[in-house]
Amino acid sequence: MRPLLNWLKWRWILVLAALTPSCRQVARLASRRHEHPLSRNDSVGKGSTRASRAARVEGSPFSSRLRAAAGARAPRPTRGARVLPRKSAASLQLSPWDRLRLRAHLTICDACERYLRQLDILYEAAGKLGERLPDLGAEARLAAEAKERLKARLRCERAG
Amino acid sequence: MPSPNGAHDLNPERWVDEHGDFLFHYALSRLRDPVRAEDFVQEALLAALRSTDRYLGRSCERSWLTGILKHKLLDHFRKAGRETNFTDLEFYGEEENKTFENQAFPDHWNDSCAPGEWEAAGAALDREEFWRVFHRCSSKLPERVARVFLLREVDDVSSEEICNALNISPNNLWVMLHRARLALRRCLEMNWFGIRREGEGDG
Repeated sequence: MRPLLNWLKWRWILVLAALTPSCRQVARLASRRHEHPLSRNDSVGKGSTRASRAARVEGSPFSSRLRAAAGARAPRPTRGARVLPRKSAASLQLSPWDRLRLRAHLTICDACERYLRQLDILYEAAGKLGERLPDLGAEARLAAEAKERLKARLRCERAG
Repeated sequence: MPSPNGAHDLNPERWVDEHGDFLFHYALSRLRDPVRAEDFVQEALLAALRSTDRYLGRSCERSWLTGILKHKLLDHFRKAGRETNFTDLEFYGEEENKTFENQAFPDHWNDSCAPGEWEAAGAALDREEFWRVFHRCSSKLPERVARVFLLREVDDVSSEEICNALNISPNNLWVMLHRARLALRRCLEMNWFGIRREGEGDG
């Protein structure tokens, strides 16, 4: 029985591998997905205010995956759950056939599944980058003389 | 809260001390030239000073000043974009090909470059050292690719606006962003998540 199941499993994987897009196509599609306006909540508001950032992260297509990946104690998604959420898959504007192929690919390809989660982390990190000033040493900060120059210029401007 | 004369809580006296470093870092990461970065900070602060009456108090002072600086930089990029051919499409092209060079399955992840498991990735975002590595990785991107990435991912500028400002096609923008993500991902994987394969350097 076991060899038969094994044989069926490998047949199934080979069939899926033949039907699904390549990893390169999935990676490109994921990048395009991040460019898709529906994923960016462009209508929420322009600029980098906290509200639009929060809305942007909430609207992120893979945010549920991100949350799962983010918490150290968060359980790893089960294999069956490793598919694009219905909403984000719909907003990819893919045909049902392409969506099916993509889902099939992600079912068998751990590397692509990890890649998508990593894109989420990059997306989240980039969103936070705009709010923080990393401690990068003196060269990334204004020198004391430069600060004095700026203050003098501002005083001059205010004095008219 | 507006003050009795209608102006909101702004402290131009303290702008340089409180926000100078942040604004300078913002400009420097986009221009990669400390002299020009300082010039742009000055321009932004002067513009802010002249338009304090337009500050509505909806955002914090730093966000408002950063917004002014962002628009100054976008204007600058727009002018520069008209004069130069703004593309960096050769960047990471060869690496991308190698990443998907698989003998058994064409265009699938090469075993030596396939994404590894990032342990405790969410917790990393709270650590100062992670941000230093992230910054180091993003500063390894070519200047123009980094600029596109920061505008799109950090500043949330729309693709259309970036294409107009930098005079590039949507497809070129997408290729640059795609490769920037691939390169950043790989750099973080090696330098923060500690996943190294044989024959890899410092990334």
